[in-house]
Amino acid sequence: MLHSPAAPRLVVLDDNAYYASMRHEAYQVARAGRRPSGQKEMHEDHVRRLSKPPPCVCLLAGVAAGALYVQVHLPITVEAALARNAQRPAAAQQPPALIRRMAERLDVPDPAVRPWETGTVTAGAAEAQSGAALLEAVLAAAAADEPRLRVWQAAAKHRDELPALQVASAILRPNARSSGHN
Amino acid sequence: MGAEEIRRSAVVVLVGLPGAGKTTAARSVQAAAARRTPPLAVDVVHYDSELPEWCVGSSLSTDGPRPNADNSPTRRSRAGVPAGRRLHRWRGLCRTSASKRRAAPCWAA
Repeated sequence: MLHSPAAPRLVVLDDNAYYASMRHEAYQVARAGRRPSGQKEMHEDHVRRLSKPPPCVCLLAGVAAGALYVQVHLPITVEAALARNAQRPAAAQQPPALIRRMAERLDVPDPAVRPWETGTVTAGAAEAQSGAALLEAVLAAAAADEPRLRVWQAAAKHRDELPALQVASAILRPNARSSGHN
Repeated sequence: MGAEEIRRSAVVVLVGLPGAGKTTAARSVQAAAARRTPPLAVDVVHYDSELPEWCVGSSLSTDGPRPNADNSPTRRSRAGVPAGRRLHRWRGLCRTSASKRRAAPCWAA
């Protein structure tokens, strides 16, 4: 089935994303269509040198600026994760120590602490396998993200305009700094 | 089917430990999206962030020593580098062999 290039699409990042910072990079890519400006050099350097691009670079290929952002949290106990890992083919297994360490360090999505995680869907194992239900939950969360995207875009526009406004203000009031203390 | 529609594209980040069902979820969502009328396109980006990114790739060997370039707090935290240790990369190569990269991320005292 052909899709229109301009039609809305979902770009799903199938990664552990256990640190909030990893997820925030994806959030930045969704909103701005690029990684945070402070990481630009590292990002380009990274892409040039490594055969494996970071996940955000992969996302950039499928997302334009102004995209909605949704997280799907699939909670699981360490014991269950280890048991499932043991059932995988040997080549696909992760070291158990890595899973335990990741579990200790997992930043559970928390919109109260990180408001940008408001669009989080928590899915159990059954929901993960029932694609239709999960898809509808994701789409509902994405639709609910529209107002937050507009707020973000308005704030970004303000940030972009602020330096120019400050320059204009300084030009219009060249003696403003000295006049206040005399 | 599919009551909810979106007017923009969306990034969907899956969060969970290995074995939580992330890949299953991605595939099932993709299949369900294809069944919608009209179908919704879903791209799935599979990634493996537990494998330190800078341990991957052989093109690094001509870059020369970069003793501090990969020791930013973000990268250190991502690789789970213990306190008091630093990521090691000399001429872009990890000390650990390719077969042991998963078990032994390349940090050094």
